[in-house]
Amino acid sequence: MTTGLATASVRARPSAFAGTFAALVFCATVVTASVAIAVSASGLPTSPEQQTVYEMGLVFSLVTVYMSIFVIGQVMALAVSQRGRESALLRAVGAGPWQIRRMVATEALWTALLALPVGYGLGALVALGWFAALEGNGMTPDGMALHIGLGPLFAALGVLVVSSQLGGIIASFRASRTRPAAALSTTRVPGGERAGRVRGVAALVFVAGAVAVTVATAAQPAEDAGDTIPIVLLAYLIAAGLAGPWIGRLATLLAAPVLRAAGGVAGELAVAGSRARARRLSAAITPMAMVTAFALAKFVSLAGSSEVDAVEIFGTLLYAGFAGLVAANTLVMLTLERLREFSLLRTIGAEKRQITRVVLAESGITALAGVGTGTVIGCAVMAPVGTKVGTPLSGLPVWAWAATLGAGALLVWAASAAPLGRMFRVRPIDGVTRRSA
Amino acid sequence: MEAILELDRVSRFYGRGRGTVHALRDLDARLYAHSLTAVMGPSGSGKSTFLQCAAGLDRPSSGTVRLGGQEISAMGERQLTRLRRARIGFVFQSFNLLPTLTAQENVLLPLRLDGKPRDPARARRMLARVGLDGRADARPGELSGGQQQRVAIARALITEPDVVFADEPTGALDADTAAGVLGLLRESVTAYGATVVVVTHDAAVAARADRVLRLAEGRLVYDTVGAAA
Repeated sequence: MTTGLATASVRARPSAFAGTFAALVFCATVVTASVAIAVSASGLPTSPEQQTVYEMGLVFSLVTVYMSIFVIGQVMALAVSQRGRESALLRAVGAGPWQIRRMVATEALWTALLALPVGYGLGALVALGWFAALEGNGMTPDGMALHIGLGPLFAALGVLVVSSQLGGIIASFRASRTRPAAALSTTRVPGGERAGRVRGVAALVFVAGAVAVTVATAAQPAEDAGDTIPIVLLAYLIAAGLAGPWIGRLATLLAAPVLRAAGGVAGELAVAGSRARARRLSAAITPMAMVTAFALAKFVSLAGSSEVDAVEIFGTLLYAGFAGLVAANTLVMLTLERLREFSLLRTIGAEKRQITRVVLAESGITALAGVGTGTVIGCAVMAPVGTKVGTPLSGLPVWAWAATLGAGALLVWAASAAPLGRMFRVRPIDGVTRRSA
Repeated sequence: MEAILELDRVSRFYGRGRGTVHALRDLDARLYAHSLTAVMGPSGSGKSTFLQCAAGLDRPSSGTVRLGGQEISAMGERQLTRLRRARIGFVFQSFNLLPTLTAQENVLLPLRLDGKPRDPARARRMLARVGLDGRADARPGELSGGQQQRVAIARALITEPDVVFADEPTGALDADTAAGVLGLLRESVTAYGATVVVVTHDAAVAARADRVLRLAEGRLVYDTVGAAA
C-alpha cells in the first residue's frame, strides 16, 4: 500500500522526482570520485607524494560528504513541501502522519538506489580525469594506479541513503503537522508558511558556531588552517540555510524600491511573490550561497598561491561545478512548481514575455540574496583565515570578483527561466487545473 | 438585438483517426449584449470547449468566432492574449486569484498587464460594488470562498469587457453564498449593462438567466428564454 502511494506520488509530480534524482546523482558522483582518489593512494608505501595525494583525497572526501548531506537534506525538504497538497489530501482521507512519513521514506530510498549506479558511473569518469590530471603533472606517487572498486560505491550508498532518509523524515515531520484543510486550500502560497522561532534560534547558534570555528582555525598552524576552510564554510552555510527566510525578506526589502520604480507590473508581481514566498526563496538562496562562497574561497586561495597546480584547479572546478549544478537544479524545481500561477496570469491576459520578466525580476532578488550571502560568507571565512594561510582577500583582482558575482547572477537567471519554454507550451486553461509541468 | 458574440459552424475535435474526440460539432450560436446566458449540459457535452473557443482560450478546428464583429478564431496567440485582458473577463470555479497579491492588486491586474497606470481608487470602487468595501488589502487566504469569487468578479468587470465568461462560478460554494454570487452576476447585467455567459450545472443559475443554451454531445439541443429576475 505504502509503495503504491510512493509510486503514485512520483507519477503525479515527475519534475519534483527528477529534481531529487538529479541532486542525488550529483552527490553520488562527487563522493565516488573523491573517495576513489583517497582509496587509491591509501595502500601505497609512504612517501611525500603519497601523503599529499592521500590527504587531498581525504579532505575532498570529507567535504563532499558533508556537502552532499547538506544538499540532499535541502532537496528532500523542498521535494516534500512541494508535495504538501498531495500529503494533505492523503491526511484528509485518513492517512496517518506515519503513513505519510513512510511514503516519503520509501520514495527517498528508491530514488537513492536508482541514482546510485548513475552517480557511481559518472564519478568513476570524473576520477579518471582527475587521476589523469595528477599524472600529467607528475604528482602521482610511484606505482599508484587508479582503483575505483567497491569502496566509493558503499561510501556513496551510505551518504545517499542516510541523508535522504534523514532529510525526508525532518521534512515530512513538518508536513504532517500541517492542518490538511489549510494545505488543500487553493489560496495557499507555496513556501508562505511563517518561519518558526526554533529556526531563528538555530540559525543564530550556527552563526555563533561558525564564528567560533573561524577563530579556532585562524589560531591553527597555517597548513592545517587551509584544510579546514571548507568545513568552516559549511558551518556558515547551514546557518544561512536556517536564516534563509529572513535573508530572503531582507533582499526583497532592498530590491523592492528599484523593481517597483523600474520594473512596471512585472516588478510589482516579483516583489509581491518574493515577499509572500520567503521560505521558497530560502531553498534557492542556500545552494547559490554555497556555489558563490566556495568559488570565492577557492579563487582567493588560488590568487594568493605562488604555484597553482592542476589538482587545485581540478578541485575548484569539482566544487564549483557540483554546487552550481545543485543550485541550477533547485532553481528549475522552483520555477516548475508555478505552472498554475503562470497559467492563471496568461488566462487573464499576461503575455509570455511579461511572465518571463516577472521571473527575471524575481531572479534578481534571488541572486541578490544568494550571491550576496555567499559573498558575505566567503569574506567572513577568508578575511581572517586567508590572511593566516598567506592568501589574503585583497589578493583577488577586481575582475575576478566581478566575474564570480556576474556568473552567479547569470546562473540564477538562466536556471530560473530555463523551464519557461516548456511551461508556455501548456495551454493556459489546462495549466490552471494542473499542478506541475 | 445586437449580437456581441457569434459562433458560426464551430467544430472542435482533439486527436485524429479513429480516436478523434468531437467536443463541438458545427455549432451555431449568437449571444446578445447586456444579457445573462446560461450554458448547460451534462459532463462531456462540450460546455467547457464552448467557453474556451468563445473566450479566445482555444481555437476551433473549423468555423468562425466573432467578438464584437471581429473574427477572433483566426487570431494568433499574442493577439488573443491582448484580447483576453482588454475585452474579456473570466471567473473560474476556483484558483481565480493570485494568492500573493491583495484583493485590490488582483482586481487591478488586467489593467496593469495592459500597461495602464495604477488606479487604486478604481479598484476600491469596484470592490465596493461587489460588496467588499474595506477588504481591499486582504489577501485571498484571508477571504471566504464567496468573497474570493466576488474579487474575481470585480477583476472580470474592471476592464468593462465585451463579455464576462464564468465557468461554474458557484460550483464550489454553499447554496446561500452561491445565491449571493449569482445575484451579483445578475446585477452586473441588469444595473451595469454587462454581458455575462455562465457555464454551469446549477439549475438556480439557469432560473435567473435571460437565456439558456443546452448542449449535448457537442451540439446545441435546446435554446430558450428563461425567466429573468
